[in-house]
Formats: sequence, C-alpha cells, structure tokens
Amino acid sequence: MTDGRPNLTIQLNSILERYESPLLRYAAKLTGDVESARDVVQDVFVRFCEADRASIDGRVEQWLFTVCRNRALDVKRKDGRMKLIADDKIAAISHTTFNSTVKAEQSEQSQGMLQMLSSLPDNQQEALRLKFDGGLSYKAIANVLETTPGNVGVMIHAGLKKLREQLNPSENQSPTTTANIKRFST
Amino acid sequence: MNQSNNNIYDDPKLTAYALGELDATEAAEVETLIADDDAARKVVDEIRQTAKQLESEFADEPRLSLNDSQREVVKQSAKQIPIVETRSSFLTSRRFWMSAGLAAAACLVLSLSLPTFWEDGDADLVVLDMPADASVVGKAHIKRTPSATSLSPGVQEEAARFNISPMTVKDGNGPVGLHSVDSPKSPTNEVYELFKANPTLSIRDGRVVANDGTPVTDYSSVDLSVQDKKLAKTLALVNALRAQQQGKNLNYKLTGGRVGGVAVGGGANVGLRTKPNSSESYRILTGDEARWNISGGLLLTGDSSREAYARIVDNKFMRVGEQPLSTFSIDVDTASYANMRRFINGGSLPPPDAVRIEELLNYFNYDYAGPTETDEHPFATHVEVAVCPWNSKHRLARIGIKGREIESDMRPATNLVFLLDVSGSMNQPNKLPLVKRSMQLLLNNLTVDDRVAIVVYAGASGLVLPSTYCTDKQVILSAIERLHAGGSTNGGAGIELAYNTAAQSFIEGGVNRVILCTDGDFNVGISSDGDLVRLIEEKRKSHIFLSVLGFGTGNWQDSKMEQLSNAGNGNFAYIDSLREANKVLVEEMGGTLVTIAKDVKIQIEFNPAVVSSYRLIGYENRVLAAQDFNDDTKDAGEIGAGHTVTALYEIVLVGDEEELTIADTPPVDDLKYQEKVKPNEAAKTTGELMTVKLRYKEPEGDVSKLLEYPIMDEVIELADASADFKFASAVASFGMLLRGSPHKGNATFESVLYLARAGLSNSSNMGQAHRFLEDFIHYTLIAKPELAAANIRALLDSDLNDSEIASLTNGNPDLRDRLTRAIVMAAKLEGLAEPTQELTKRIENSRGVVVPVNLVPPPAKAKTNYREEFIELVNKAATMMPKQ
Repeated sequence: MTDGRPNLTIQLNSILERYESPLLRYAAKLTGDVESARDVVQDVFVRFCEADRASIDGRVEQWLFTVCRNRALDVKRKDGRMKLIADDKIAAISHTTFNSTVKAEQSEQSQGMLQMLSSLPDNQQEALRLKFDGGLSYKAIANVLETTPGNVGVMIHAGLKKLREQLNPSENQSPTTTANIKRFST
Repeated sequence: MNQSNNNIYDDPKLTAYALGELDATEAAEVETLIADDDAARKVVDEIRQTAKQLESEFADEPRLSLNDSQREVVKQSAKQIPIVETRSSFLTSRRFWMSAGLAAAACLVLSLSLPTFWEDGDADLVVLDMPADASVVGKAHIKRTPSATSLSPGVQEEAARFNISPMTVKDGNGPVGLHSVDSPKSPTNEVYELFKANPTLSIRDGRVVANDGTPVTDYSSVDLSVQDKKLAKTLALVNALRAQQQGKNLNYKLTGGRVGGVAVGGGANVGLRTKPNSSESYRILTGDEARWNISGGLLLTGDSSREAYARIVDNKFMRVGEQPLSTFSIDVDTASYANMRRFINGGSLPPPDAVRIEELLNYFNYDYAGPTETDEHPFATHVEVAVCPWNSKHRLARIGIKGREIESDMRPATNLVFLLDVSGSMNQPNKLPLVKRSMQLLLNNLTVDDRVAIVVYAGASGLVLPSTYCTDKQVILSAIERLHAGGSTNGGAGIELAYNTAAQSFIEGGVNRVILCTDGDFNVGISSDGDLVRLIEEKRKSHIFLSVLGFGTGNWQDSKMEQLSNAGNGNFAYIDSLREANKVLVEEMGGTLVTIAKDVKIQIEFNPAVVSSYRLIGYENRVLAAQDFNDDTKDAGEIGAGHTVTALYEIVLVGDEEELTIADTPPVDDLKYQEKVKPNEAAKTTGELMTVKLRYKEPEGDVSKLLEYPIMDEVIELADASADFKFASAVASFGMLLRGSPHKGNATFESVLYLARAGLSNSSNMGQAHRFLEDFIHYTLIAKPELAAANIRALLDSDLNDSEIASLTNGNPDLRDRLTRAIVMAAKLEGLAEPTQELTKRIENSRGVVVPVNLVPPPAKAKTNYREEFIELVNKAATMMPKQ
C-alpha cells in the first residue's frame, strides 16, 4: 500500500511550475504587495500539501485560486491595505526585470494592455486574470469568486469588449458596424 | 444585417462561445445563429484574438517566485504526513468523506480523513452522507472514478456546503438492513443505503423519512446483523460518526482492519463493538460500556485533527524487591491542565494522552512552607503519607517541594525576547489577540531595569522591536499593538534571531529568556526537530533559557512544545484565557521567569521490609534510570521562584494480600547464581517507609547537591490528612478518571468531589479549589450528566452550608450556569426533582441566585426507558454547552 506522499511531491512540482507565478501575481493584485503575496502563496501550497486529496483532485486550479483569494483577502483586511497595487508598480516590475528579454513592440503593447486592464472594474480584472492567467473555466471562476457562471460570463464579456474597443480605437464602437477592421496591426 | 441578430454582438453568450465555454447544445445554437452573419463571426474572431493576446500578455508578465526558504517550506510539507503522528500503517490514499447533516444544534466535524476499512476492492473514494435527523445510518458510496454523477437536491446542497465530491443518492423505500442501490453494481459505482431494520423508512432527498414523509428523529440503538463484511464496517463507522453528531465527539480510536470505536464526549459515551462470538455484527454502546480500549489503533480527532499527543502509558506498580529505587525528574509544567480545560469547556473530553497527571497536580499551588531565610537550599521539601483515597489498603505518599519566593523588588533584572508566531493560523481571538493582551499584562509588572524585545516569525521572520528598556513602555506597548497575523510558519530562522537578540542584550546575573508564543504550528523550515532541540540546548549553555506559551486550538503540537521547553530549561504553559495568562505571567511571574534550581531529580528508596510495591503517579515521560540520579550530565527539570512541585506515590505494603497480583508484570524468577537481596538491619529496625533523596544544581552551577529525608512508616487516616493532601489526591483522581487509568481503583466522581471540597477549607487555596470544582462539575456534565445529578445530591448531603454552596457561584456567572445545568439535569431524573428544587431554594435563599429554569418535576410514569431518557438528556446537554 502506498500513502500517496511521493506522488504528492511530484504533483507539487508540476503545480509549482504552472501556478506559482499566476498565483503570486493574483495574490499581489489582491494584497497590493509582493511580499504579502509570497506569504499567501506559500501558505496556499502548504495547505495544498496538507489538504485531503479527495477535496482537490480534479479541480486543482480552482482550489488553488480559491484558497489564494481567501488568504489574500484575509491579509488585506488585516493590514488595512484596501487599495489594489498601483498598476504602475506592476508595470515598473515588468520594465526593470523583463525589458531586455521582451521585444520593444510587445513590451509597449503589453503595457498598453495592462494599463487598459487596470482601467476596468476590479471584478472584471479579476475574472479576466483567472480566466487567461489561471486558465480557469467560467464555472471554476464562479466558484472562486463565489458568484454564478452566468455572472462570470458577463464580466468576462464586458472586460474583453472594453479591451477590444480600446485596442482598436479606429473601430466604431457599435458592434453592428460592418467597417473593415484591422485588428492588432496598428 | 439581420435585426434579430443584432443583440448577439453584445451577448455574453457569444463571448462564452468564442472562448469555448458553452456546452455542445448551446454552442450548436450559437453556430446556427451566426452561420451566415459575417459580422458576428468577425466579432468571434476578435474576441478570440483579444483573449489570445491577453493570455500571452499575462504569460509575459514578470515571473514571480517564492523565496528559496518559502519554497523549501512548501516542499517539506509535501513530505510531512499531515494528520497525526499516530497513523498506523494501514493508512491508504483512500479517503472517507462524510457529510454531516444540517442539524441546527450540532457542532460538527465537517470532514475527516479516515482510513477505509475495505480490505478488498479498490475504492478510491468513499462518501458517507449522514442525515442528522435520521435513524438510518446513511449512505456509503464507493466511487471508483472521479467522474461526476447526479445528486439529489438536498444532498447537492450539503455536498456543496461540505465540499464533498459528487455522489449518487437514490430515493426509495428501504428494505431491511443494508441494500445496494445499484443492482447489478456498476463497475464504477457502488452505492449503499444503510438502513435500520425498518421497512417503513425511506430516503427522500438524502434525508430519512417515515412513510408519511415526516423526518425520522428516533435515535434508539440499533442492533444490526449484516451479511456483508465491508458494509458492516462502513455501518459501524457511520454509527460512530452519528454518535459524534449527537455528542460533538472528537475522539475516535479505530483499529487497523477491524472496526472498533470509542466515541467520547459531549455527554455521549457511544462506541461500537462486535458482538461476542460474532465478528460480523456490531452494536452501539452507550455509557460505561462504550469506554473500551483499543490498542495499536489510530487516534483521530475532529476539528483538532492536527493536534498531536505523545502516547502516555500509566506507570506500573513496581516490586520493591526488583526495583527498590524510583527516580524521576521534577516537572513544573502546567500546560496539560489548561489544555484539558479547553476541551471540557468546548464540550468534549480530552484525549487520554493529552492528560498528564503531574501537570494537573502542578497546576495548583499547595500550602507548603518555603525554605527559611537561613536555609542553605533554595527549596524546602515536605513529605506526607496517609491512607490512599482510592484504595484504603494502600498508602499515598505526597512529596511536595516549594521553591524560595523572590519578592518582586528583589527580582533580578530581566531580559526578555518574545518570539511570536504571527502565521495565519494565529489569527483567531484566542491566539494572537490573547498573546497581545498577555504581553500587556506582563509588561505592567516589569520595571525600568527590565528589557523586552519582540521577534516575529511567519513566512519571514523579523525583529519587530529591538531590545527596549521598560522605561519606554509606550514604545513596547505600541509595538505589541501593531502585531498582526499572516503568512505561514517558519520558526527556524525566528528562533535564531530571538536568541541572537537575547545574547546582544544579555544581562549578567539577570534573567535572560526567550518566550515562544505559538499555537504549535512550529514549522522549522529546513532544520529538523532534532536540530532545533540541539540549538536550544546549545543556547541553554549560554544561560539563555526558553519558555513556551501555547495558545489556541486545533493545531496543538503538545509533545513538540514540551520537548522544546524541556531542552531550553524552560517551562511550558498553555494559555486558554486571560485569567490563565494572569496566573502564569503575573501571579507566578517569579517562577515563570526566575529559575532558582536546575536539574532537580528525585530518587526514592523504598524499604523492602515495609513496602511491597509502589507506583509513581504521572511523570511518565520524566522517569529516569536509577544511575542517572548521580550523573550530573543528565538534564532534569527546573524550579522557579515560588514554584511548588508535587509528586504522588501509591504504595502497597508488605502483607497486603494483593501484593502478589498488584504488579502489572509477573515476577522474575529467582536468580540461579546470586542470592536474592535481603532486607538488612536498617530495613528492619529503623521503622522507615522510604528515603526521599533530591539532587539539584544552582542555576549557574554544574555540580549537584544532595538532600536526604527518611520517612517514617506511620498510619495516618485519610480524614486526618492535610487539606492539601486531600486536594492533591482529588486532582490526581480526576486525572486518572480522565485518562481511564487502570489504577484508578475506587476513584469516582463522588470521591473527587469529596476530596476537592477539602481544598475549600484551606483558606489560602480556596480560590483554586473553587476553580477546580468548577472545571470538575463541567466535566461531570460532559462525561456523565446523571452524575451531575449525583453531584447535586452530594452537595445536598454534604455538610456545606447554604452560603458555602452559594459561594460556588460567587461572582462567577459561568459557574452559576454550569451549576444551573447540573440542576436542570438532576431535576429531570427520577426521584431527584424534589431535592433539586430544595437545593435551588437553598441557593436562592442564600445568595439570591436566579436559576432561570422551570423546575417542573417530570410526570410520574411507568419505568422509563433509561436509554431514551439518557439520550434526551445528552441532547439537551449538548444544546446547553457553551460554544467554544
């Protein structure tokens, strides 16, 4: 008989690889500071190791992000740091550490995209991050955010729409336009 | 442009479609809708493009990583076994999941991981669903694949609530006994409904109902004979769980492979056992019957599932002929008492291994005289021998030690470094906030010569307050105020920082001490427990000592904490309330902070002419080998200023007919090549019972000093013994009852009550005797409600006058409530309604205590079913238990 622990180490490694950074970024967004985010995410992984496999298996990412969110919000409440991290701070991190490895154009666009993202309502930002950084399904996001999948659909739709419109300023904002649209090539 | 299609462009459904979030049917609908709508398809493209870009933007964000030490902590935790240390080898990755019902009053364990009892088959997951209001024991669900299955609405709700995996529950009428729902069994799912032998019941929406649809609430015991071994085992477990629901039990002992259970607490003593001569049928037990021992089993606790206690086996009787010497290290720890009280106040009994009788004894102060001014030794020793309260043929010897008191203005300057656990788990009212208030209490009693530093540890450790003289109390207070919990634990770095801070602010000739405050989740990061103990031992040599203050529940690593404080020449206390903080940090500050003697060992030599065998009560993990007594390199316990230490020996005299059988082990054969040692002249002529020897070192010394006290053999009746003696024996009896000790003899609730009352007559210790009685009465409520009634009767029969009885509630609404509860229960029991009313009146007359219950005697009826009555009382008691 096996007690399943060796498998846990293997599982943990692959999960660290995939989710460490997305969880840290997510937690940093919520707590507003990277150090707190590290504490939170360490805690998430420790809990992950200690939790009953049956409660996690088959929905790992949902579990991770749920625990991460709850812990991060705890920390935020406790620290009284109610505002989200200043987005220029994230952008600054982006610049200093990654400029050299990222093409200038991409970097510009990335900044543009991140800035646009930050202009969205918090809940849309959060849903988009869970969807496109965490790779969660609508249903999983709904569970993390304690809302309905329908509501998640609305948030993501609205967020993406805003981003599309801002990325394509030449485009008529009416979705019914038949104008020939050049996307992402400007 | 088709007008009817206009809305689709701005429909979340289109986004969901583009992102592949729709199911096949909905996706097909959308596809039909946009099939010949170019614009709509463009929008879909756009959405996908934007999504793709966003995805890659996120991926290109700077990669954030944990620090190396954090990553190490995580990796370590993947290797650690997460539940309790006592897991036995049959543990598998299979899991039981249970969903407790939604009973309003139940304070339940929502999920536990338990080993399965399946000896064959290869189930991956077992889900047990237990309607709280049902006599039916629930459903066992064996699921071989994690694929989702359907849920009935009621269960779905519960499943969501309790975070369990999907399962299938089918409504239907229940045939007798156990019944497999899926017939034939599908390869992936086996679902069983576990029914009481009653065909009139059925399951609706996951709940058990009678044929007319009313929920079933009958809790009467069930004899079940089942054919299927696997199911019998499931059933037994479910029953244990149900007992837990009723009684908020926290303790389970389950044997490997076999079903057995002890479920104790919350007023219910319910267990399971196989019927004699039958390995396949199980019976629910109640009351005394249920408390049976299972060895080599698994200890699982409910919401305290991470609490770990080292196993304690009661010291055995030893034959003087074989073991004339008994040697042990003293121990001034008190944590076990407060921890035990925490369980009791929470409505359950502590696991036996959480009860260390010596810590119960030493929790209380006794009226021993301290050493005189001129005495060369820093403590005084008192020995008293009388008839043993729980076995009148035996003697009970009490050895009491009292450390020299140090007046607070004579207290040496103190250099304290608080090492605080501020990990996320400390963020509960009885943890960090209590730590803060405790520190504030202590600070009030420190003077300008003292200094305080604060080091915290969580994800990272840090110096929150550099060592600061108490002239700047405000600075210290505001540092305390700013503390908050968050992150997870890495104690290893913190403890080094704390010691370094203490070393930097070292006060020569003063008290230099690190005080670790934690809930026990002491994750040592990369260093092992052994390394940590070595570190603490190393620092002890530089005269920086360690005290451990435990806080909170659910995570309590009892054995580790005690080990750490022992290694650090420190004491170990558990703080469950501000009152306890006041006791440890203010009333006993001298003892907590100032060590007056270290490595104190006691050795007793028994006179074989008088004593046939003996037993040391408690101190199980403090027993030393006889040769360690004179070995100054062997570490032993410390005594603080004003501390009292009490040890009890139960002694069997020569000539006692029991003497040959009382020892737990058979005698060894006589030696072939040596003569048996015979009592010498001193044994026969001195009339001595035993000689008590003590060794100790001065706090800074390395060479021990020896003290010897011969004790005469005199017969002192229990009635003539000192009040302190009786009180100590009450505490020890209580401990033996809690531990279910095989040596408890005639100790009963009544005898504890009788003995403890002696403490009330001792004016200097009346307060603590009250507190003990208070805890004890509460205990009786949990362990045996009907004995609460017996206590009421004992109170009535006692020679306590009205105001003495009323004084039990003196200024303490909590105790008053508990007495009230005892009264309520007594009033419900046959034949006790009247005396209870009388007692109530006496209390009211004396102190005007209002007993807010309607004491209508129960209507006369035919001999009631005692069991039903009992369970009703238990349920009633459960609702009255204070929430923790």
